[in-house]
Amino acid sequence: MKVWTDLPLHQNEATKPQTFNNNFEKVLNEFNGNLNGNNFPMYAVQTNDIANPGQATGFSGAVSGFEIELTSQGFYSIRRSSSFEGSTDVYTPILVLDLKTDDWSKGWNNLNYFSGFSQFGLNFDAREGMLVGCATIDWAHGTDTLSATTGDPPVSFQAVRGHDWVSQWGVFVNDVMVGRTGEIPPKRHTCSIPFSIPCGSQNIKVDVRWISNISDYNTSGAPHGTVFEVYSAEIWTRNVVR
Amino acid sequence: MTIVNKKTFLTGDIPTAAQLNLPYNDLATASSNIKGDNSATGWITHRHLETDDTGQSVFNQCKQYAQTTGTSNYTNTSYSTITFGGNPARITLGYTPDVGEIVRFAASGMTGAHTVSKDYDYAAISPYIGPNRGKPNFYAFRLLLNHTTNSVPGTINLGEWGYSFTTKTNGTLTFALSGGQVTAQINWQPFAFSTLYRQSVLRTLDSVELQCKVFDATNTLQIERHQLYAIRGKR
Repeated sequence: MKVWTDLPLHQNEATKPQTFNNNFEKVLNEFNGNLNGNNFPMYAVQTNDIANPGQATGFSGAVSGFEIELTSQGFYSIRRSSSFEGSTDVYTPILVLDLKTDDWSKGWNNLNYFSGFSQFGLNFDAREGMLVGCATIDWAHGTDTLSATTGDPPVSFQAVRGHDWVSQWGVFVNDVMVGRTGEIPPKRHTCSIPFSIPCGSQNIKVDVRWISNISDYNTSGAPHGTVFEVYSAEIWTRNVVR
Repeated sequence: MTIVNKKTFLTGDIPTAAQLNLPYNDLATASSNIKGDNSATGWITHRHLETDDTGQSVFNQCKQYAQTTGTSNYTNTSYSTITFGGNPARITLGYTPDVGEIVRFAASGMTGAHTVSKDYDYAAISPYIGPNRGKPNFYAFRLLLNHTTNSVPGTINLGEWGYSFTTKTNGTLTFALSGGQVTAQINWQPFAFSTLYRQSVLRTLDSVELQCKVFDATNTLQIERHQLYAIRGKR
């Protein structure tokens, strides 16, 4: 509502105390908790009128990241990267699996199952709204060459993996897949997987998983190895609430 | 502002001018600091929110750089800012977020037709053996944040991401190579990555740049279109 004089005073008029009281109360009641949209001009609320979010909760070590809740959104991030947390540079992997000898599943493999990534994944209490985020994974598979022999008498040759070597990555929110890459043939590639899903006021877990379909684990020669490499992985999520 | 109190006059009181003026004077002073105590529940609408892109808008702010024509080539083995036609892939930010604010950075683009002379080590040529095995096949991108903290310029490495020049694949199953042969190179490959920056101390964010490098200078990375985004999440 708007403020006006409740009981106007006039020249030479005898005035009761109640008149002063009513006029004061009319004004003060408005400012004491009843200001509404009529009292504020459009575009009047600026950044500094909304509370500063303050410091986030950060963590570092094998993984780094942070959690922060702002007024209209929250941000949650976790990363393990060859350039920061685990290795020396962008060219050196921080996870190397030998698909011939190491333990892995033909189904979806949660990255946090593997060495160095046990803490990787988001786990936070969301506010009702939307989760909008992105997983970025820098990885390679099947990029090794191998020495093999063929024929009789044996002839040595160099070989590389073929199109039947494919892997894909997926993003899972509370064990529900919300994004995936599709099948990717042998190469080093950085996958950027955006996702968006509604959420309630609930605990949220976000992780990334990979699945591979490979054929020739080994050949008759001496391969360099049947490697699956990860160079970096990062998940960030924005919890949009209003 | 704080809740304003007033004196209640009773029948027979003879208020002074000062007593009559006091609530109005207190209100005039306190109303310069209106807070949630003073407003009704649900008073605000989107129309009340500042939208002007001057730094005081309460909404997220997006800044963008895009280069959609032409190609440029890179053989540098340390990071260099992608530049086409004299225009570096750079967004001028020029703001000082509050401590705790988040800025989302994202870059994407398309590579062109590379010139690749080395992609692996099967010839076992030094130094591409041992820990460097396979690395000639790689190129990488970096997002670099330029800032000023306490009047001192500095940089922050926001992230690095890699790709390979070749698939090492052709046909199905295995593909036989002859000596010195490079396998099928990946031209026109899209690249994309994103990350978050958290303002942990007060610093002015000057600009962000998209950079690239190759591991082996005999390989040429060609960049086609590319774009950068910086989205400041304020509240």
